[in-house]
Amino acid sequence: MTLEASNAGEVRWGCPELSRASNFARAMAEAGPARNLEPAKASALAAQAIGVYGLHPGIPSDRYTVEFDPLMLDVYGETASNGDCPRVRLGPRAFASASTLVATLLHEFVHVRQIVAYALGKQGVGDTEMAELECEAYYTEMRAGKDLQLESNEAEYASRRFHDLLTRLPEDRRRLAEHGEFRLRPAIQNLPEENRV
Amino acid sequence: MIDLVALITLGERGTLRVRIINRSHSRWTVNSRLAVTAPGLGGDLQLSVVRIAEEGIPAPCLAFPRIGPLSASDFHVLEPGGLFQVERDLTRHFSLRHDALYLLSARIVTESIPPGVPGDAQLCKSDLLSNELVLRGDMTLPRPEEIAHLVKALRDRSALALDDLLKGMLASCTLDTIHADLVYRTFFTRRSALPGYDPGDWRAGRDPFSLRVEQSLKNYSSFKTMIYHNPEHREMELSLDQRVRHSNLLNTSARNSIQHRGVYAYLGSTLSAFAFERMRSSGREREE
Repeated sequence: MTLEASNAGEVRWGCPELSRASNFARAMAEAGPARNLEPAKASALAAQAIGVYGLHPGIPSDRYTVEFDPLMLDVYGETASNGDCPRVRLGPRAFASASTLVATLLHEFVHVRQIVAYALGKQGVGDTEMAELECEAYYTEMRAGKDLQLESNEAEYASRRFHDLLTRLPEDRRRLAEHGEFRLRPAIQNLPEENRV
Repeated sequence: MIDLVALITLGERGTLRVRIINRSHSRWTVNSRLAVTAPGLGGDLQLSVVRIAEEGIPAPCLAFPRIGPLSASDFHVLEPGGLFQVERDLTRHFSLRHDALYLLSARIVTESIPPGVPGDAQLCKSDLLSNELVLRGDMTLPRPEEIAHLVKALRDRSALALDDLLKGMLASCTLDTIHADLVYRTFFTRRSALPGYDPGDWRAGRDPFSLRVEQSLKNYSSFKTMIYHNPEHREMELSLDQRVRHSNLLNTSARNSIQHRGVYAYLGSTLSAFAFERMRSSGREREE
């Protein structure tokens, strides 16, 4: 286990003050159509969302990056392990609304923590582990979405994906995951040695 | 009749090129996002990449995408005979060693709106393709000597492993015809090395290995049909046909055996027989 792995904390969020949340929502509305966003404007909005909603992946901020990729049109967001320094990329779709941006950031921050905590940058994981990693991200989205009162369409999407992924887990892990328990570290550490690159 | 078919090949600049073709006479509306995910995560384009020749080590899938809900603007109208094409960067998702060979397995499971059914309430899941492709870590096709080495390395492996490799090489044929020769060569030279191989079985049409290869080839029916429908590919494949026909690799009796057993595509002159059969059946459908 790496030093980072032992120090990885939980993904955090916090309910914002009403005035800050309104300012952020206004800034999102004034930014115009998501597909026309300037990279500088997108980065500023992402930073504002992180600040206002207290989003934190549970690892020091110099150990990961958040970028805007105007050409990433197939998905809302994506986290790549990028060696030991996870890289979050947000596509224009993530900026459709304040709720969408917060939900996407939360989702990707779960992966940031997973990559560091389970040292995923140096191994391939099996389909079941991948499904469980995604399950955890959608579960966090659902929980935080309720706390932060995000728009219902985001909550519905997260719930649908979570329940879809649950069906791909073995019975024992499914029962735990339903209640938000993800015991991934032992499963990933027990992967065959040849999964290491 | 398959209404939508898809083909995955290597694109330029280290990308995977995905093409969806509407072979029906109706207008289809297809999801154009084609988001890449690991298998089992429910993405439109599910990829797994395994390093071959070393006991199949999975290449780390290092990207976790949030696909997000579909919207109306994600759907692309595909007219009859129309082609929709996108390219996806594989290196965004997998960490590949440049000096290694990989077997890429791809499956396209996308949502589409059937003709005559307005609205997204009737979205249907379409399993458009399940395919394999052999490629090098630098996203180029394997060199002939690498494939020859692989075939040699597989001499003592199971027929199943060889079958997978053959499928990969078949897919690679779309870009480099040299692999067709190698597939053919492998097909005929490896049979005799298989445990339990009996030439008598082969002559009597009971050879289990060739039956398995035959099944693999049949799985490529939509892929082969696409090639037939794409004039650019067809021209290439017909020149391949001639090339194989005149090569020393193919002896007449063996070719006849294949034709007799209905093994199509890439194995000598059987490709044109396949194309002719398709033409005849298309004609029949039109008449009906």
